[in-house]
Amino acid sequence: MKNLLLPILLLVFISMVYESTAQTYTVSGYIKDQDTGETLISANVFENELSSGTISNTYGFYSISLPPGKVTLTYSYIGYQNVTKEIELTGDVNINIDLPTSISFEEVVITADKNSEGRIEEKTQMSTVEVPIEQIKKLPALLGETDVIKALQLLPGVQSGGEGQSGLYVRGGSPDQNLILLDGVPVYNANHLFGFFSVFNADAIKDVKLIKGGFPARYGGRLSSVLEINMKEGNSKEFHGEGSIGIVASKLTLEGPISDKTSFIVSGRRTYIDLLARPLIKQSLRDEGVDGNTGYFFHDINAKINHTFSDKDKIYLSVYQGRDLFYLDSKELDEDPADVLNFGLGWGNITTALRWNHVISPKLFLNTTATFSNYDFDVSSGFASEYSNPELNEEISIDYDSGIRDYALKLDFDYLPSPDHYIKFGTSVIQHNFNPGSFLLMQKDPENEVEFSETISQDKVDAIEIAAYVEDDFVIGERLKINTGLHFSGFALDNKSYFSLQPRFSSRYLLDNGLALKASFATMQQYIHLLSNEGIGLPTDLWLPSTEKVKPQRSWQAAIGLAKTLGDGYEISVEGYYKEMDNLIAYKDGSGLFEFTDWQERLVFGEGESYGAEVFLQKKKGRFNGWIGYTWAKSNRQFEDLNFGEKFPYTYDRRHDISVVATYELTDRINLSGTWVYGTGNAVTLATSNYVGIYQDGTGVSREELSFFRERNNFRMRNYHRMDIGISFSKKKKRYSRTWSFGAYNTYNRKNPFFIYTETDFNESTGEREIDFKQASLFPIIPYVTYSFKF
Amino acid sequence: MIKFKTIIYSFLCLSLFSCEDFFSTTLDIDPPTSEDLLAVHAFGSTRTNELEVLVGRTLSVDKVADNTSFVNDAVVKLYLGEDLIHELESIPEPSINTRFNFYMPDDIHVFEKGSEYRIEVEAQGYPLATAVCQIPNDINPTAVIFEEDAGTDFDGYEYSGINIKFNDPSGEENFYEMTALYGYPDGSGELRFDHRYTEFIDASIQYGIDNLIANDNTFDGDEKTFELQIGRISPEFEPDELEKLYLNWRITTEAHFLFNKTVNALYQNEDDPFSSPVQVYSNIENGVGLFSIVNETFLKVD
Repeated sequence: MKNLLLPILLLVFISMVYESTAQTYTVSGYIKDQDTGETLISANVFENELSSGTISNTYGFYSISLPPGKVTLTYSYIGYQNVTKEIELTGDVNINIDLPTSISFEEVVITADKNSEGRIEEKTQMSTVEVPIEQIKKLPALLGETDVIKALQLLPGVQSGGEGQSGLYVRGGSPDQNLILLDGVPVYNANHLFGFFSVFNADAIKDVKLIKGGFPARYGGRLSSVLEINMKEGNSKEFHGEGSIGIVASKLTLEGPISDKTSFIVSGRRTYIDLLARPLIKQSLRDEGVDGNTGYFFHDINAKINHTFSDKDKIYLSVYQGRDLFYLDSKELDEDPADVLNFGLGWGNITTALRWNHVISPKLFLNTTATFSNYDFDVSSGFASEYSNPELNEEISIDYDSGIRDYALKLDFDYLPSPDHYIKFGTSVIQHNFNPGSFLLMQKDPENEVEFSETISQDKVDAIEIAAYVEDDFVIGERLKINTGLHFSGFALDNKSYFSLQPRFSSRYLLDNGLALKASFATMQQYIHLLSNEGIGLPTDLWLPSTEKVKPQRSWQAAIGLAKTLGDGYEISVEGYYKEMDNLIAYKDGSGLFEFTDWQERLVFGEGESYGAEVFLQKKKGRFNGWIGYTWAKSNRQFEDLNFGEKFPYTYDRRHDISVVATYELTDRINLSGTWVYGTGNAVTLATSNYVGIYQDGTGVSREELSFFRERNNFRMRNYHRMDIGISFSKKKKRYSRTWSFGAYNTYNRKNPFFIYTETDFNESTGEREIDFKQASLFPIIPYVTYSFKF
Repeated sequence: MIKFKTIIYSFLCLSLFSCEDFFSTTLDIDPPTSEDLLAVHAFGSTRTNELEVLVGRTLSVDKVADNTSFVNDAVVKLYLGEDLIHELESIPEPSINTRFNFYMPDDIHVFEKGSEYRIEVEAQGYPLATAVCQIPNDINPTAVIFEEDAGTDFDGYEYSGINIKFNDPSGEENFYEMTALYGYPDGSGELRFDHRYTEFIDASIQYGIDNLIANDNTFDGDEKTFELQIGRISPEFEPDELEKLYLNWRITTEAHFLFNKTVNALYQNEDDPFSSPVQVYSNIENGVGLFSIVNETFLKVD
């Protein structure tokens, strides 16, 4: 039956398309920002008389087929003035539109808004949130460092792992189940500084979209979410720059035209605590008779260049490179031999995408992408004794590295035969190379005639992942809109192959009162796994393939909801969802991070379920922007070899989650912002009792002090809540504009839980040991100040 | 209109305020609610025909479990099927090093391999704690062979080997436990044993508490050889060393295997804050602990 599904669906598509394509002409082109030339994603195109519309795709391309005659098209996008074009349609026509930005908030009048394709009740897609990057940049941030991922954690159905962490836990899923795409390239480790910052530099980002469920068929490979981040293309009209100087990092972005048809953007960011502290550290070490240095930094660089050959062909090359490095070097002074220590801990991503947009016909758009993605983690440590006679020098060193590298090729077609159909289809192939970890050990001891080097490594694994999809977003009558499709995927190793056919469906039905009733169903399959310590985004986390023993993770999710645009730019949506996952992995009881046994032997396999309801009220226009999100959810796990096979709450099972986000333009120069979050405490495992146990092993009986807990994750940490506030003052100078931003993280200094530990003391008065339970918090109130500029 | 200076002063105040406890805030919290249960650990062996039992109770997790947790006035009964075998004697005034507080000497009963035994522990204020154990049948090695040269480890240490060959009965789950030992006579001439550090080169073996354990998931019904490694013994130069080499060979129950495995995992990871939590296995109904009678032999390694 499954084998028949794809051809049947294709036939349905083709017949419907054929029926609806008679006697129409197509208007197509790109929609761009008038000032910068940046293409606009999901901008609306609407024909009022016919009540037909479409939206621009990820590359700003739109296409709408209409009957011959006079048509009036209105182009609109939030934050921009509408542009209306009257056309006498006698044939296919190419119209590129430059939308002017709104001068003030009052002037944003979107006449087509009532029927706009961009309205929430018009979209078939549910469980999706797009947060404008400008809004993200206005939000108060930890240490003033704007963070896209942390802004997304404020959305319903999305939560952070722990205090300050950048991980995303979407609808009961784990962070490895999020497909994070930067310009279409997977980013495997989105963390800087052990998860306290994400790798995405907001100054280089154009657009952020998170899909939590009802996944369209074009996406695959992860169970829980798709986070699509697109970089800016660079201002094609004028040379501009912007930058900021903050407490922990500074950044600079430059963009501009290279020629009429070519533009670029390059953006860099670096922390500098290590540079500032270097003289003090060196002096301090010197005082102790050591020449050395220690520090930590991260940097990242985003760069993109794009060239327009013609209205039909564009090419883009985008690159991201980021790295974290902790280092420690020391050498004893005035000693013979002198002890020398070198230690380095580094990790980072490189992603590259070469993209070619080609308009095959006014109705058919092709995006071809070749990508490269690499994540690597390495540790190097070396100890040496350096003699005045170098021939006697002794050395011992241990180096470790692990990572994942992908090469991929993707073809994505957009076919818009009529306003009633938006068909997408495509295929992709990814070559994965997994490095589960290798050690290089080296020792040199001339005096004892020892010299060897040896590599101990887990086998590197090559795998091919393929995918193909077809989906159609189509209209049936005036009320019903459906997006349905199929995603086929496969994964092949040397000795094992997996294949999967994943049906996807989402629909919208307009009710009489303007409410949209939405429903969706999606199955997903994930072939790669993250062997990870829960909660902390450690760089030691390992991406590993499905193997004969480790099966691909699978899920299905169903959701139903209501959505409506209210007056004055407000949108509200209410959704309920149920998700089941299986072939999930977890560490065996007692397995730790720092074991170097075969990774497959450290795992147990199980399943999970999560369900919940989300309410999202968002205001997208005007001086006052923001949202209120509320989630009620339950998330459980069940592993045959954990918790004695009984179901237990997931660590990030959060019953209640509330977020309030607001930004307010007090004047054209002053912006206020604030966020408040509340969440049920994370579930952790704590022993509830101690007892004396014995063990008899043939040579005698040994006595042990043991601890007891009835089930995993049996204890709830304190509820989490926090308020952040910010204010920024902007001023236009003659040649540039500048902004001072002030704010505070955790304004009312809530001691939020980070972890729980026990402390054992000896009570002299009673003569007994006492065990106290303590909660450690990470961040008290932390103020910040940032200076930023634009020219 | 908010004045700029006000903002700056407020900001400075916030900065100063935040300097206290910067990055190091802790809070006392209440311990988890404890469960008051009987803790029963009862071990018997077909080799000794003794049963050693420690009856205690669980304490709140903020208390240290020591002799004060012992329940010395419990009633401990051992049954074979429905027949009462013995009510165990309590050991008077346990010392600080007491390992068990109830004992059945070897002249009461000879444990029957393949039979199911039940233990019942009755103590005031607690529900009756019970557990059952079916003593495993014999699975005797067909050979226990000493191998002088069994390889070298990464640090350059040389190993000798003990190869244990046996036939695993098919269609049933079997659990093995083994320890290499030094055997020596004590003052009365009775043979005493000490542990000898043992490694292994077999994926089906894992570490237990001071011993090695295995189940037959990967070799059910097959002829199998466990390959153990001990520090190098050269029979030519150290004949006495080889003479002292023994193997403790045990066939255990699944409960015993899981208890051994989980207690070992608990101890191996107690100082690792990143390790996943360990639930110690228990087969005691209405309590925690283990009731286990193992099928045990000592074998001379030749």
